[in-house]
Amino acid sequence: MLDQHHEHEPIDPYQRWMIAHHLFFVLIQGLILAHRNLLTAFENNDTEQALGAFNLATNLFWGSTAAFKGGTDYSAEEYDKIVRPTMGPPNYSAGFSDLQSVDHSTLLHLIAKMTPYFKNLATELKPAYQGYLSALHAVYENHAYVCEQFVGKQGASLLQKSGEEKSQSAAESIRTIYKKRTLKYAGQD
Amino acid sequence: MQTDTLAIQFPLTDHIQESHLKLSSAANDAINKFMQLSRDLSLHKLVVALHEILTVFEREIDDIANYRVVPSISKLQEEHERYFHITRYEQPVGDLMVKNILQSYLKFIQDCEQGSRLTAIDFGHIDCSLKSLMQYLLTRNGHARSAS
Repeated sequence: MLDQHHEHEPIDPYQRWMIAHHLFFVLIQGLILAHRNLLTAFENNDTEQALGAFNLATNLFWGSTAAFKGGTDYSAEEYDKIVRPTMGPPNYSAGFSDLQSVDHSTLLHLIAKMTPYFKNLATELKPAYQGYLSALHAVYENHAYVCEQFVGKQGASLLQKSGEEKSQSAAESIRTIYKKRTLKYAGQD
Repeated sequence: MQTDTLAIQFPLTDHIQESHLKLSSAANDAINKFMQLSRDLSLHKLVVALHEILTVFEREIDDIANYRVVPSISKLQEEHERYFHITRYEQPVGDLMVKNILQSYLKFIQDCEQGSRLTAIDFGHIDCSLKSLMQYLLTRNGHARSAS
């Protein structure tokens, strides 16, 4: 635990949820930059630039894992009673999801665009690529873990509850659908 | 619920690329000060230091609210951005990103002060990721300047 020197005020789960999401979105915008830079490096066969872009992306993925954790640091009951109801009807469609984020979607398209490059990497880029994959893997695992804490191993996401996504539990979807998809984009079949 | 404290201004997604990254001198100064912050400082000292950097930066940059707001292009995007209090601005990308990094880090650490269970490793990941991004912005901006 971090060292704190002040008396703790009661946590506001909704504020914590929003603050961490904003941090997460800032990191995603950084990831878009890093991946656009990586694509340019691949196109120009510039190994040094590619190494820098891989390292930036890796750092930003690790930052995202911590943001996930920070934004969900309260009880499952608080999530269920305070946070989750803010994302549903009548103000928002059933099935509200971060998949609606245009930045998230842009990032995934960028990664997918680079699949052929990921599969034919120069030898000197492979250690950085392995670090990149580990961090990417950790992002999804951390997200799945957080879901399990809130809705349990068998619990459904809002998207699944809406009927838009027919699959296993929220955590299982993250692991078997989304993580698998993104790792495939990143060259891991 | 204090929703007004949760608003955030983002650059347009299509503009998040090298050619739009020009930074003001105030942004350069803010990044340099940010990079000198040590994560070994107490959370309270970090909050004070970040608040000072952000205050000076916000005073010296153009009023971002004067730039054109770009509406969402789909209902799903509109809902997502309304929920998270996101407004999209056409420019200036670099300064907006610097502002958001400082602001998000500050709010995150203030939140940690409220008794977060984040470990020092988690905190290190946040610190390292944001400093890497700031360094990137600074470096790319330097390259852009020398080329112009």
